[in-house]
Amino acid sequence: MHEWSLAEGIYRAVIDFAEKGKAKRVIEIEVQVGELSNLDLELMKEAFHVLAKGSIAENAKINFKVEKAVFQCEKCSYEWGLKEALEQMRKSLNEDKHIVDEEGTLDLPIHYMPDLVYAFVTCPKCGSSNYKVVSGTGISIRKVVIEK
Amino acid sequence: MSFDPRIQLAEKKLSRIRHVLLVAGGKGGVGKSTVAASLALSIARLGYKTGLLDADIHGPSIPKIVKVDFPAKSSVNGIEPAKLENLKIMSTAFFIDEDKPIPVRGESKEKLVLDLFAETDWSELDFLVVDLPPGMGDETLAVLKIFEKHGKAILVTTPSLLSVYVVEKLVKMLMREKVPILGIVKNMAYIPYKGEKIKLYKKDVVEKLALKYGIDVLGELPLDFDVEEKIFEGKTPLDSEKFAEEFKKIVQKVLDKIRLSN
Repeated sequence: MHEWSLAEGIYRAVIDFAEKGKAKRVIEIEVQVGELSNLDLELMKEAFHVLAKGSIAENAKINFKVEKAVFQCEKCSYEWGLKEALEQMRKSLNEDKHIVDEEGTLDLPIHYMPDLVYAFVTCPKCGSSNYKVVSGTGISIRKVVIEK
Repeated sequence: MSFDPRIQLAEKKLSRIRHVLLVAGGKGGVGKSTVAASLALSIARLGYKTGLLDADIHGPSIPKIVKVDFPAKSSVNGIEPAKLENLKIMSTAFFIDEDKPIPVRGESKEKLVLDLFAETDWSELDFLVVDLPPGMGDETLAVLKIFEKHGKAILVTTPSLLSVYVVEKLVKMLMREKVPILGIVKNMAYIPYKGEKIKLYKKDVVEKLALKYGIDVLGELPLDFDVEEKIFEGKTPLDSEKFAEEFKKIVQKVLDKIRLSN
């Protein structure tokens, strides 16, 4: 259900932007989401439309672009992605460190705090913690098209 | 354009919090977390709706000071914080095995602080006490960015020259960022012995610093071995009699100052 609060964050930011720009309506929104959060984009879309009902963003088209997760080791230069990171997390994280949502789903902490990934993953090749998360953790509104 | 919607979430949460107290010290090991936890618990015990945010990403120690069970549940309002009596607590330590290091890099620390605050279901609060990490790096700057309009700082230092040397830098930074400083707590100032206070430092450089910048000294706390014992026993620093006695005066001063500033 984390998707609902993020959708609300998007809605508030878009309305704020549109009102400042004296918009009559919002036509299109583009949101980039990091792959690590494993967000349910359909649910986010639905939540956004429910929240935007009756507002100038009611009929806005919302597009999500998923940014791939890329990790790069500073020690051995190995690069890896979500699959290898998730394998490690599933092995190292006990069930009690997951978060249970209202529907009983067990979520990894990185669903809420993607940058916590540093605590759970090491370089799959050399085992070092000295790596960079090059991409795949954030969420940002990249484009808002308005009609004045 | 690039805009993070979590900032909107943080603003929404902040709109339901009346006062934010930032407990900082610049230097590690001066007792910031002990003061932050004791302050939050004391205020909560006075009947105020209170939260405690552990913003020390690398070394989160709040759950070591106040033993709590983390419910690991979430709802549409966010992650449910842990509770000690009526105090709501959130820390990255709840999600990580105790012995695991947390080697987080630059910008990620900033995002983590934002997530930790914005994703927690604080509901309505009279006070949010934030335990800042040592240093003036990314996570400290992130805290100041989130709470710059609402936060008031409480500084913690020992009377050691080295500790005061670092806290002075923090004072300057807070002044530059226009964060009001409520006062300074002199921690580990003396050892209580047979009704006497045995001072650990000959020169009182804290008083000198306070005078130089017009900051109030909120009080001085003992280096009380019983505090550590109580933490070991799963109790809180406030269960240590001498510490609690001195701490009560500090809490009163903090609350008086907040009342005056409103």
